[in-house]
Amino acid sequence: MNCAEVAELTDLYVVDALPAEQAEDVETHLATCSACQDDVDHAWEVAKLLRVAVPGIEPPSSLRTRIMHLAATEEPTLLRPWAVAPRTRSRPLWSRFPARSHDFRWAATAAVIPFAVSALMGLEIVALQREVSATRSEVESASLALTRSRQSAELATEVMGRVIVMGGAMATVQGTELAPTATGMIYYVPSSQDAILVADGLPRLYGGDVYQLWFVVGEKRMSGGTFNACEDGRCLVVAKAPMPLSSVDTIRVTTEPRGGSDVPHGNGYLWARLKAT
Amino acid sequence: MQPASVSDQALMERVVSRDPSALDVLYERYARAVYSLVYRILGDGSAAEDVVQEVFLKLWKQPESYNAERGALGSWLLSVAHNRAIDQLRRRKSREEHPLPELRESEELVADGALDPADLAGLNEAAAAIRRALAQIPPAQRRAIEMAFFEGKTHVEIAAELDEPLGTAKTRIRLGMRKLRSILEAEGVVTQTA
Repeated sequence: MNCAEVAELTDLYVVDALPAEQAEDVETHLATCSACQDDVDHAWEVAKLLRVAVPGIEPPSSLRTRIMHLAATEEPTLLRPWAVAPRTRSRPLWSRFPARSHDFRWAATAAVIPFAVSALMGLEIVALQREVSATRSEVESASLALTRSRQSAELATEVMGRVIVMGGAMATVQGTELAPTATGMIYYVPSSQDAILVADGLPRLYGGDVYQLWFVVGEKRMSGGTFNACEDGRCLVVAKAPMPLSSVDTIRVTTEPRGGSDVPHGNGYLWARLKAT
Repeated sequence: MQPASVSDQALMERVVSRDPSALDVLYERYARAVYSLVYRILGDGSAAEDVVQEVFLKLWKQPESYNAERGALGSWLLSVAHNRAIDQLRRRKSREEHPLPELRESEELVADGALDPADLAGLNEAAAAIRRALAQIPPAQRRAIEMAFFEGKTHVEIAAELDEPLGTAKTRIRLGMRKLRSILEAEGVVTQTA
């Protein structure tokens, strides 16, 4: 292919309209002809502008959350500099008791709950204290979060006390494909409306989204409130169902806009089956 | 410092040092342009999301892929996204009949240096200019260019689809591109041809 032939095809080449063989012939010529390469570079200027000529469409907010979650989880070295240590996924405490020994398992789980709550608080305090070194505004927001965390933990302890006294139940919480490493437990008294959700591995949310807990009965989905996970993906949530939990089939956690939704619109991140099938 | 005032270069340095908040700012800055382009090519929101995800995770996992000396970051992201989307479109259309080679790493890592908006404002100005220019060329020429650039069709396929002689499809693309260049040169958006 000579210069005249390439000149005839330059515009087609830059918009990718040439069949592969013809494009290769052009490239072979360009590799040895700087004059034709200059012409192609000029033509490229126009072709590249075409990429921004399309109508603007806003990507869904869940895409941002997904990408940031994947960025944070696919690369272990991405932990923030102040992270204490990489977290290894050991078996949770509740799974270390034999399933068939139900009473023992329940009693043991109940016994560790105050410790778990304390540990969660401790972790939050450590995390928050590290952030205090940043700015004054960060100190204020951290203090507020700490207060809420303590209130949440105190409430959780109170509910858990009732759970223990009244004979409670628990169910394993699983992450969906959007939170594949998430895991947790939900503790509740079937005849009451209070439940405690403890989970970790939740991705950080962006764009003002929050997590929202739903109680599912048949086709009905009733809000149990919104919450944010801690920086390290953990959460401790005390939720109140609008009916006794014995009639709830499953609980689900979705992402919704700040303030929550009347019905779930966002992607699911956690779920647990409460009622045995 | 507000995110909007941080340069792409500074954000890329933070990406290299593994600061996820920098990636988040870059996503905020360019995701709409990248998603819009990919959606235009693939016509499928789910597939477009996958490509956008791939592009930004590539930026995160291989920040050294982007060479600032070769062009603006927005241009590079659009270049990688365009290549990925067209590649996916062609594989989807005729994987068995016309197998395409996988993109070589060197092809996708080279930044397109010609379009060089210094920042997001440059990108938006470029978008307005090319839209104005496209509106001024004959619809048949515009359509032929779009079929090639956004639908991954060769001039042979375009001629067949429009039921026109091969030479007509080629001429439409060539004339359309030259008119676009002429308009954009007059606006000072692209450099004057020597």
